[in-house]
Amino acid sequence: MKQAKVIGRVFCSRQCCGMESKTLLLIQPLDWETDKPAGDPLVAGDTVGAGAGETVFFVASREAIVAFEGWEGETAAKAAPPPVDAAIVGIIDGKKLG
Amino acid sequence: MFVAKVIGNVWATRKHPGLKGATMLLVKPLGADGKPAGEAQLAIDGQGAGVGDTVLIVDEGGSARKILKNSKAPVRTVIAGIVDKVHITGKD
Repeated sequence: MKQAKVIGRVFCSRQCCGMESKTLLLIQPLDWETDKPAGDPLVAGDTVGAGAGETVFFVASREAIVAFEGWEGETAAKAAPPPVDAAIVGIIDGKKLG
Repeated sequence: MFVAKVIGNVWATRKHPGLKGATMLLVKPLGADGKPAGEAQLAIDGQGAGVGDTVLIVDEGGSARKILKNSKAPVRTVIAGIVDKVHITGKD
């Protein structure tokens, strides 16, 4: 899992199957040790309600879809997971190195 | 799998339900010579490792979920063991 900063949001009027209700945030991956930008910004689906400017961590590839799959505790019928390849799964409160 | 050193920890109250109660540790992969090599990553702790330990990391979702016994955990990087010794033939 990588660290990232939420730098924006993406709105699409027309989207692919299952992505309609998902918040798509623009995030800038950061290096864990130096907090410097590492790599290009990317768009990730949001599962925890992250806001702009917050530092989050995200998962990529198959795990992003696992993050959106139905959850035992949920009662509402769960739509099919969206075809995303990155998903924010947590908002960092604090970090201690060394 | 790869060998890594635990270099820190991260805490987050608002996170995905699949990560509830998970301890999150920052790990830095080690090269064959035992020196840090590569980018630090966030791993879920499955073995009670602490900062400074040398650990064995599994970096694949299916096995990660098996280790954590949680089929809904959206994680790929999990600490699978604590390494006591790495012996390389022809050395020491």
